[in-house]
Amino acid sequence: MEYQQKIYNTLLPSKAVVSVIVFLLMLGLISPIYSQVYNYSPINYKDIETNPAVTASESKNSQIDARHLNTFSASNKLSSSSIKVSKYFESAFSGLGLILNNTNTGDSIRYDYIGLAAGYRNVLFNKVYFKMGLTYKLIQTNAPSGNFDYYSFAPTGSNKQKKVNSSVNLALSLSTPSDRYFASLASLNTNVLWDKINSGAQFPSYYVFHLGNLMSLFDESSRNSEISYTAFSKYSLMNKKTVYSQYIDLKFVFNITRSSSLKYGSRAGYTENQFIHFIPFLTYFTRKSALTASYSFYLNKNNFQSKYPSAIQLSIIYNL
Amino acid sequence: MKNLFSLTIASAIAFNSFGQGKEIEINAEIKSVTIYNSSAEINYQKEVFLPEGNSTIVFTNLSPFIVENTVNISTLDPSVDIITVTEKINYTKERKEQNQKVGHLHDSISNIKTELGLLKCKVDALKMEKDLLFRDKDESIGGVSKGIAVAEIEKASVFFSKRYYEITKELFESSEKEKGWTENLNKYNSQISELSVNTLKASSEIQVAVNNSSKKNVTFVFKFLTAKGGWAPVYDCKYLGADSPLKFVFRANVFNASGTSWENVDITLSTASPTSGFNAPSLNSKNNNRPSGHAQNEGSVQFREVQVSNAIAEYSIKHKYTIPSDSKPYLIDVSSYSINASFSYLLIPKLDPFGFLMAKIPDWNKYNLIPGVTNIYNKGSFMGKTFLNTYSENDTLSLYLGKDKNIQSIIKEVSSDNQKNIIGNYYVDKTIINISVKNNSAEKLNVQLIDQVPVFKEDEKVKFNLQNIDLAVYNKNEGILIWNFSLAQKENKAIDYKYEIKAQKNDINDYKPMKKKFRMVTCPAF
Repeated sequence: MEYQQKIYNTLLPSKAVVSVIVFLLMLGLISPIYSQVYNYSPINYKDIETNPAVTASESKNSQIDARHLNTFSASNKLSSSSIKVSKYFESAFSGLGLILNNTNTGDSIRYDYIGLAAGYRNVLFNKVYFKMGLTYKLIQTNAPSGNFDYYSFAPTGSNKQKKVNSSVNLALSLSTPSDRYFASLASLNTNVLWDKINSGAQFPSYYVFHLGNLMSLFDESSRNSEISYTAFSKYSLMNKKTVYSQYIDLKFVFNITRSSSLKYGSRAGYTENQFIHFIPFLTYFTRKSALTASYSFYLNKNNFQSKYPSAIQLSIIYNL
Repeated sequence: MKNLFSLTIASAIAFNSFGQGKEIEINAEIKSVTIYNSSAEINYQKEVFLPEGNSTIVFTNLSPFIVENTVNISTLDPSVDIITVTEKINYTKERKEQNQKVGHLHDSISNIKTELGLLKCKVDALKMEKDLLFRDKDESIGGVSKGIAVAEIEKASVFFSKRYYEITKELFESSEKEKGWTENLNKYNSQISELSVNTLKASSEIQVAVNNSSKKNVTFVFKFLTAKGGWAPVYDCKYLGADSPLKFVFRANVFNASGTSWENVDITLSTASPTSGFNAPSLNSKNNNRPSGHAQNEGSVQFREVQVSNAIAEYSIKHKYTIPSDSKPYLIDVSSYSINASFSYLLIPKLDPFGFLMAKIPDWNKYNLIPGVTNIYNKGSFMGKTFLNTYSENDTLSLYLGKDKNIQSIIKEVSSDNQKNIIGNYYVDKTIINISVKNNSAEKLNVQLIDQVPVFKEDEKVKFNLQNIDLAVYNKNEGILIWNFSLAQKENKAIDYKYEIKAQKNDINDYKPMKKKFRMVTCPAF
């Protein structure tokens, strides 16, 4: 069936794209292992690491996402840099992503990781996209034994050592076209069976729930505003307890020209039953790219003084 | 002064008579006609007794539609000198040849007009009487107030009643008669309009000045061209059976509007361009172009342009024919052929359950026929008409000979889709086609079965999987499937194949069926 063969050929990803993905994978494997820090900002529906199911979204056709977060605080030093590359393969209804991250806490505590995300989508009842995703991460810590936590590290040992762990993020989501409505569940930093919890440096694990776009409930035709809700639990190994956080994301779009716009808004949340957290942001969109600056700060619910530092994050997303 | 004027007239007449010699008026008869597709060449031959010296022969009652500069005249006696030939139209002379039909019609019209006039007189009289009797009763019967007896009033009442009925009845009958006669009058007028060419009073004359050395009988032969004639082919194509050659009967529809009837004449049909006989031919680029296809109108006869071979064909008709000058088509026999052909049945079950008989005629162009309407007969049954385009590029003509119910097909399509499936990334539309073909005739038939499957452009992200078509020829660009096979008498054949259309659910808000599942028909709306 020559004709069919031609059709199949058109559906396969181009060789160039596959080559780039393979190259990046190899680069990640032969280079010093990087990793990514978790603060609460990246826990959102459209992030391929915390919601790998989104790699199977047509909006992730071919995308590079580079970001840097820094506290600029001498007492709470934290800097995190990451690069995320994703590609959606329409013919296979699947997406792939690669995540490289480097995080430094304090003066000498460091962890890096590489993550490979994969997602697949199917259609339920001809109406709803059902997506599932997985991110497998190899994390190299360069720290004493201890527990990493929110902007902190609690050592249980004194000898700094390099150690490699692995974990996975899992996600399931339901959405309508263009994510007009979506609901998502995710489990982050889940230990893999072959990598037992050891006495090395540990990360907290999360369960996340996203719901959006709530604005569509009020205005079906609205394209210029978005409201979404995120809730998650964090189990801290350090404290041996689970804490809960809830966030509301408000986003508004202001069109500048036919090809450029500004998106502004804020993420506002109640974190760990203790803090009121705001992350106002401003994004400049063009047809191919998005440049975002955000500022994260906290208020203690009792005296409006946070124990966590403020942070600035810059990111650029480029559609290939 | 009066004497001087008379002398001048007399001198002129005498001079004129001397210059032209004796004038002989001849009513020549048509001997033969060569009919071209949109014109006719009329040939005359007449023996005339010529006196010695100069004389003028006037051939009268000729067509008033002679094409300029196409008169050609000669004598069979070389000793007779033709000095001048002049052609003119005589508007004053009544044509001897008066169409009988038109004369009868005129008579009928005249009679009807007389009857209508008399009827009008009668109606006027009745109306006057009615008006007189019933306009004012007081005046007409002397007035009731003047003391007329009851018996007189009763008598008057009976009279008025009876007379009123009679007058009204007669008026009604007159009205009905008037209607009938008016209808007839209109019919006769329409008929005259239809035969308008025959009401023409003018005719052409050809004056030939000759010089003859001695008195004798001389045969004159002359011809001219008129645009008021033409012919078009009509074919009868008769299929007698798969083992017999195709019988092809060639006839021609001939019309004459020249103003003179062609009585019992020899006829030759020609595909030539008639002006070529009068003007030197030349080749130019336009000769190679295809015809523009526009139609022309010559009187009441519609013309159309058709493409014919460069080679000129002439057909001499065996029998003599009479073609009246009434613009009506008259059918004449030209020739007939027995043509060897191969036959097969075309079946397109999606469009028609019955087969279409198709003849393939090799070496077709050698017959050098021009396109024309063809009547198709299948074993004696008239199947219909088609317009036969006689030019065949590969020299094999495919000719459809109509529907034949001896071969019949039934198509069944069973489609299913996965619309009700809970989960899936593809819309899948599966279709199973069962075609059953039956030969109801008593002979073996060759069959060409055609079906069509959906066609998708290569850039469409649709997977199309066609199965069980090993014995078919598949044209992917048009989605055409062709099976060629033979069916013995009363034999059945089943053809089953299936296809699957698989399209991604990329826009689940905008699902459309992947193939057309319905067709449109027209039916009465009660």
